[in-house]
Amino acid sequence: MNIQIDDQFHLGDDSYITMDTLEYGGLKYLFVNKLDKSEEPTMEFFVFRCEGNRLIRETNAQLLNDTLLKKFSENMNEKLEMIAANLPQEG
Amino acid sequence: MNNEFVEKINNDINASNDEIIYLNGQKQLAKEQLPEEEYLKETSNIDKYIESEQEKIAANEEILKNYELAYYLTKNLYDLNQLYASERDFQTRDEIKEEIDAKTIELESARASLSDEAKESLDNFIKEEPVPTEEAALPEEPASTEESAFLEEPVSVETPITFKSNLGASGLEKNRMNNLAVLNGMIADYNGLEEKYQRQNEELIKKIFSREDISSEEKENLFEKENLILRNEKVYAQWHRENEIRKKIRSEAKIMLNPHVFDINDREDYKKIYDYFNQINLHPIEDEYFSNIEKQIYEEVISENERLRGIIHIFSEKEAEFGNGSENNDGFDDESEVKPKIDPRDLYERIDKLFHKATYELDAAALLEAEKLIAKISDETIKKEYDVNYHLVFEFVVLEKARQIWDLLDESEKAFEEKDTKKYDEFLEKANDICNQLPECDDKYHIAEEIKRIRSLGNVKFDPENVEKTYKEIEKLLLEATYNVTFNPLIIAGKLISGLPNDEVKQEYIGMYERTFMYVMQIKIDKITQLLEEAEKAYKTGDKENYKKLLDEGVAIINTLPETDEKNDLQAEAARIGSLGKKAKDIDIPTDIQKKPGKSLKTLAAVLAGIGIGVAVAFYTNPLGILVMNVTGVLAKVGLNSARRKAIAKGFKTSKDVLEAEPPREGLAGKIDKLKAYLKSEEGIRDMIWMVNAAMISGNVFSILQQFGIMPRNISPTSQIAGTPAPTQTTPTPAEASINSTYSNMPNQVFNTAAQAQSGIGAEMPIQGAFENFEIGRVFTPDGRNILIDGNLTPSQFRSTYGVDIADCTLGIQNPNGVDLSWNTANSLRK
Repeated sequence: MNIQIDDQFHLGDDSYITMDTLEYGGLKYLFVNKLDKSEEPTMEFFVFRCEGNRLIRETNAQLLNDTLLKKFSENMNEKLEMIAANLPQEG
Repeated sequence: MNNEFVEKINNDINASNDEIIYLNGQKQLAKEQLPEEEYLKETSNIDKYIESEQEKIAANEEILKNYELAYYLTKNLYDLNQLYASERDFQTRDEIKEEIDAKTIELESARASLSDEAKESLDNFIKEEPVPTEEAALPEEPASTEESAFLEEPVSVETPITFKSNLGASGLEKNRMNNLAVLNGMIADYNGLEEKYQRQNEELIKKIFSREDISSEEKENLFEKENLILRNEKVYAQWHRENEIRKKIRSEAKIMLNPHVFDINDREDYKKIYDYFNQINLHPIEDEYFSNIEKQIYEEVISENERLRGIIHIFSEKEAEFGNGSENNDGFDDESEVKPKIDPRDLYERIDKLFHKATYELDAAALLEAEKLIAKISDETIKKEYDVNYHLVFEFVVLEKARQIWDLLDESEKAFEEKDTKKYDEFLEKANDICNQLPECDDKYHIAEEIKRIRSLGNVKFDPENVEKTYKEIEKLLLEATYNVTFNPLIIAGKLISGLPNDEVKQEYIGMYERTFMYVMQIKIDKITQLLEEAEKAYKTGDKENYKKLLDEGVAIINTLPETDEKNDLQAEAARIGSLGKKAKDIDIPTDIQKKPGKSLKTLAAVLAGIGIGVAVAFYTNPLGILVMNVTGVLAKVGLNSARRKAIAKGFKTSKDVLEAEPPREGLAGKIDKLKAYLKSEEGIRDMIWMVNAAMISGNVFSILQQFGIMPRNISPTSQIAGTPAPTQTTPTPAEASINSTYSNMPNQVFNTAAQAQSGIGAEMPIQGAFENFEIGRVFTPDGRNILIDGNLTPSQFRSTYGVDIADCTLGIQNPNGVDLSWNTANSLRK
């Protein structure tokens, strides 16, 4: 499945935006944000596993905690850093 | 307890003991009188008889034990059933039912080991004494006669209306006094246990040390063994009675403070709730320990119910404002005060002021009041806008308060470590006070749980001068953990054990600790396994309702386990079973995939903007509900909790200090702190708020942080959030504060170069001059800079200084006195 960062897609009735992707253990994972009806971001973030043409919500806590979210978190850090660098300096 | 049957068994035991003494005497005689060969033969025979008598004693003691156990369980079940029948809270009822079920099984097991004769005797004995009033060594309920009296008081809650009509001011007091009498009775029983134990202890000493048939060493050993049992029984009885007292207080609080039993339309009724609450202070329990417990429980009950909390809060405020004698202290604002008669703008202004107060003074009460006023707004669109703003301010206040509380709790725990009880109490109480001010939310719940935990540390009477006392505490905690199948008491027990000075004793207690831990863990694992198996079975049989219920129940218990391999395995198993219930295949296939350039960054920017205005964002995954990441100050909390959990798990294995907390992890937390340090400053907050408003007003939220969005598009341009000047009648409309129509062809006034001045071509007018009636104060550039501009700059100078075109910026409009009025895009101001 060729879903990339910035790809918006529907799953059932809900719409999601891909924040980040990651290859791990031969599988591809997506870090996504659920969008509301106006297609604006919400507070809900999920990790999906790509299997063929299907997406499965990843629920393995150990895998999420130890590996996937750590990596996704690092990537988000870098992006946050970029935004933070553009804020006015203290003092 | 004493009756014919018990007497008979005791007589048998005494006879056996006498026989053993006689046989030992015979042995001694044989030794003195018989040749060695005969003596050995005779001794061997005598030993057989002694052994037989000892078996008889053991069997009889076992009968007695089960007989007494069955008796106390029957009594206990009787009282529990009474309690169950009178309890109105469903959750408490469920808890009681659970206890009844557990004790019923225990009773059946105890009875099964009794002979028919024993059972018959027991049944007759109970029949003759259905409501026992004598004190018992094992757990015993309060005198049932008092209990009945309490329940039969006019506060019967069968029909809420009668409850109301019977309770005047004196009725409340009378009720309190009645309830107090019951509680004092229960507390007296509790306090009597210590004396009772002392008495039993003395009897035991007398009994054992007067025996002549055993050596001094055997006597010591026997005493130690029996005393341990006796002591554990006392500890259990104390613990059990304390629980009963707590339950009684809680059930009383729930009934007396239950808003549902009052007439919803009658303000007087609500005031009675507050008045009853005050009775706790007016007529406190005499015993200081239980008086504090009572206050704590009442606070808990109040904090658990938003409506109740509101009632208490309103009346407390009113009382503080008007005093008791005020005529208008019914807790409700006059309708005229709330419903705008002349202009709804007054109401908006009031809400804005409250938002401002909540934001700058972190005043949660102002927030609650604002919420009330928002409910009064009749225009649905405006109401929606204020709701959005309310949530922004709400999150901000909660976040800031939570930060204060976590700091205080850390200090409190540190003070506990340093045995500075004064500071420990002081910090804990401060944290508790702030927590009570928080509006209802998840953070409040987590904080309250943490406060409870740290408070429980204080209940541990660690006394280095009296190690014996510490042993008792440890044993009590281990018993509590075993009985309740919970890890919490183990945490404190672990702490006490790690502080024991004697290594040998310490190792012994570590052994007990580990066994208790393994026991609790095993029981939980068994339960989880059973639930998960049943959930899977339910899924296979198509019983979806039960499948979900059983799975949720299993997951809830998994979440109580410490971080161990077993927990990971169970989580994986739960996840596997959880995935069975996933939606049909076709739903898993993504459809309508579209490229949205930059949207992932916009989403992240929304998260970042959330930080500035206090929105806590959690990254999480379902169905296990595991909080894995968090992007605000709450992160520190999550990190700390996670560190604590790890430390606790570590403590179970190593018995080292189990509460050693690790600092929150680096990375995201550090970056957020850096941002927050800036945003926390007055200037930073102001900038962020203005920035958010600018985004809302311009209608183009993505123009603020490198084209990243920070607010939903559907926010109306008129939205304002806390801390900003509310739009007033003097706020310019685009038509009033507009860029001169001639701006693009304005008269040459400023020449950027000498050549331009000489030729008179290419000159520009200063930016400030572009407006007819108003001035520009601050400017937000598309890349997020907040600039207080020099009005004499020309558009070209502005472009060369800041690298952006003024026309692409969001402009802050001021009146000639420099008062900020509104935000507009340059384009929207063009005529």
